[in-house]
Amino acid sequence: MANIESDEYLEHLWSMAESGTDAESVDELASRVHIRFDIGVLKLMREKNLLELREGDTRVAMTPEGKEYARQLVRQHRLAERLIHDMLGVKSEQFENAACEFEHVVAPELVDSICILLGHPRECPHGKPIPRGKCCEKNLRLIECAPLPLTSLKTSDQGRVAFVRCDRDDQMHRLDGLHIRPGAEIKLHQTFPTYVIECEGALVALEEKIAAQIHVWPSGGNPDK
Amino acid sequence: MSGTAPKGQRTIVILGLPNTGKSQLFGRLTGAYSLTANYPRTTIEEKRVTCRINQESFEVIDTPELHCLYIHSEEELVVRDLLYRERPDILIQVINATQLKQSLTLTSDLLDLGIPLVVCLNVMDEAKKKGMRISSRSLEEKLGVPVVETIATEGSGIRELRQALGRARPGNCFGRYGETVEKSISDLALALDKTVPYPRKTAALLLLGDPFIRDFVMAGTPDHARDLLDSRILAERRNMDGKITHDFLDLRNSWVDEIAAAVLRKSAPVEHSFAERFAHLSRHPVYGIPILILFLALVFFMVVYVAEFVESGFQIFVANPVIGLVSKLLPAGFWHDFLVGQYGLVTLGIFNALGTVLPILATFFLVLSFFEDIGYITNLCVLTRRVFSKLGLSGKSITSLILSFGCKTVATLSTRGLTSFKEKFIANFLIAFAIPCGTKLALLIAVLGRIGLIAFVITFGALILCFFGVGLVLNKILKEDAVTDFIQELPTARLPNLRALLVKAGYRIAWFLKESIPIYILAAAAIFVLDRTGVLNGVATVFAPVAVGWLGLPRDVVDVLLLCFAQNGAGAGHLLKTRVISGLYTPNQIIVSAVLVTTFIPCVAHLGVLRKEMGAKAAAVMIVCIMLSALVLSGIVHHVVAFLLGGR
Repeated sequence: MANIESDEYLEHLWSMAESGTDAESVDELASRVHIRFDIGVLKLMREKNLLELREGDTRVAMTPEGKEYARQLVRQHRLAERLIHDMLGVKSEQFENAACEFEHVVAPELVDSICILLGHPRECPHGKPIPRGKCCEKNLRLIECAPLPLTSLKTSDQGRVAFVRCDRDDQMHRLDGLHIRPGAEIKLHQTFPTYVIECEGALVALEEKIAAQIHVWPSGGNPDK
Repeated sequence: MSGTAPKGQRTIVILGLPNTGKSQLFGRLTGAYSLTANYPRTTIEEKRVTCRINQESFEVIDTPELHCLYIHSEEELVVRDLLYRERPDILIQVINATQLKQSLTLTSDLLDLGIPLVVCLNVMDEAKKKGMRISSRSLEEKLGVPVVETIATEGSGIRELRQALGRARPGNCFGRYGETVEKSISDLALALDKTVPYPRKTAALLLLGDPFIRDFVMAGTPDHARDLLDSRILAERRNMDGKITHDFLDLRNSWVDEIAAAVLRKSAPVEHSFAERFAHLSRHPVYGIPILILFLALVFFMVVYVAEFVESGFQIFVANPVIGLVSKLLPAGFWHDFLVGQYGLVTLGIFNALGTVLPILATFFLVLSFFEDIGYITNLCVLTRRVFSKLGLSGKSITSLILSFGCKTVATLSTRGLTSFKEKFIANFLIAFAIPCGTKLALLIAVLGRIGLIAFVITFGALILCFFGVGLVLNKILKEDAVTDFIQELPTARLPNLRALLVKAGYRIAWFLKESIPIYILAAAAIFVLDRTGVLNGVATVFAPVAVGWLGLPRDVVDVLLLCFAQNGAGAGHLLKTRVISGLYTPNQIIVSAVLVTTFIPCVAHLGVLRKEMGAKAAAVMIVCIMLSALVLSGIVHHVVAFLLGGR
């Protein structure tokens, strides 16, 4: 979804609803957006089933899909603000711009990790609520969802590769060729005498040193246990 | 443009990831048999055949593995060099359908070359069993090249493949990098010499920092332009600051994901097959060991008892009548001895090869093929890797060591891919010194089997001890250089197919007969001459103090050692026939001579390869060390065994 404009409109619609002003007024929306307001964008969004336009295009309401998408966007944006504000220590107004950029480049699966990393914050630096994610509901602790090196998994654990730390380019190309790369689903078959993992239908044996370089998000780990 | 093919004849290159069935497909397509096994890297050098397909004469080339055009190993370099040197007219990429994504990575690179391509979805039967459904039609649409479904082991889909070759065409471009990267690539491509093929791909590889491509490009660039080009590459690389590697991988990965998502449907994972469960157990640290012992016992049983049975049949029904007949026809004297005497052409040459060595080899090859086809060899690597790493051997060299149980010459050739000189030296030293090659191993088992399991245990105990001893010492004294990572894909576990097993064993036997019979006969003639001229006796006299005094062997053991030099099996076969079966040697002498035969000297063929791979100097040092250590070791074994068995 390369549509930065439509993302911004959705975010504004979300905060209008939040702040208690007339949440369905197209005029109110037009006054809030930073870039030049374009009713055509709203019409495109209607075609994507993100919102409905009523009363001669003066009233706008998000569909359930639109709401869910907006919620995700706002969550990403506010978590990004918290991250930049708290962790990176950028206190000036610049963090606002940085957060805007940030929310468009961060992968959805990273959002929950950032949330966990920050300890499930409830509010953004401006004091607005951060929509909660699945990770908050389960109140996942850091240990269960943070990327772990393959070496700390147990046999028959599964996970998704978060990142691979490679010393050399040729190593990275080699692992990438085997599809051991961020996003790949892997299953650990054996740890001794050699690590054996299943990745995209193939079994691959790795020495411990390489296994320690592969970091995964463990999946199927039930936080209640 | 093609290197060796006559003008007008087009070339087809078959390539793909390891263990995808390239060689089987090659065989099915051309009718030529190519040795295959269920482990990666069975083919280490390209293989060419000219044949007619669709009423046109093609040169078809089978190649070793290739993961992608960014090269990780020397074997892969062989394949890429082939693409660059010969600029083939058609490529066939063999894809293991169960590992679609990994193969698509290579596809993306091949599409970039712009050579007409046919994709061959092989092992479709296993993919179905794994619950994977691949739509070859939508894959064909996505890639823009013909896609054919095959099961090479059964030969199905080959007709369709032949037809598809007529439709081979360059496929869709797989994608474009970011603007800056694209500009760098096209600028650099323009700056390359006109003779450099695939300018776009070559430029991309140069920017990615592929260590091998630079040399290739520089070799084809006129002297005066080299420095300019070099500084240009450096500048562009610095400019992008490592960005291109990520850009490149990202683009490729999203392309692969998109295609896989469009063509691949997975149903619920099917229960693991018996073969898979067995493979799992065979690399398990606990269950793996009894399985290994069981398999060793199987080898022992087959080679000792089954081969002995065949061999005694040969002796009774062929050898004895022939010798009797010759003795009747020729009076005792020169010609009689020349044919059927102690060093006769027929007895030492032909009967040694056919009667003694062949039955043993045939059974051994059958068992070896069985292990290979069920995928046991690679799992054995996984099981034993840690032990080997203590000897300074990591990753690929283990496969080389295991290959050396087949043939040392092949094993030494396969160490070409090792980047570390230290590891290469250790691996080759151990291959030359402590591991008996298939022929020798089989014969040794037969020799030792004659006096019982205890001799077998003592001899192989000594060999294993010295294997580890030498490995540990070399690992300590040699200087560390490059590290090799152990990253190894495991073959799919399969149940063996009896027909394929027999065909493969048959191929190996035919190879042995073709390669070895002339050597056996020549060696016999040489020994005969040495014997007649008194040289043999002279050597034996010089060697006598060592042989008799230190090793406790009769002085005439030199003929066995000389034969070993000619061909590994010849010496051991001679030993078995003339000394062991006839009861000439004591158990102690049999054990000592077995150890000596294994370790003392590599055969001529192996020496040649060793010199080529390691350089003359390192090879010479190695051989001297090996011969001295072999004498020391065998002497120690003699004295220990004499102590244990009380001089029996």
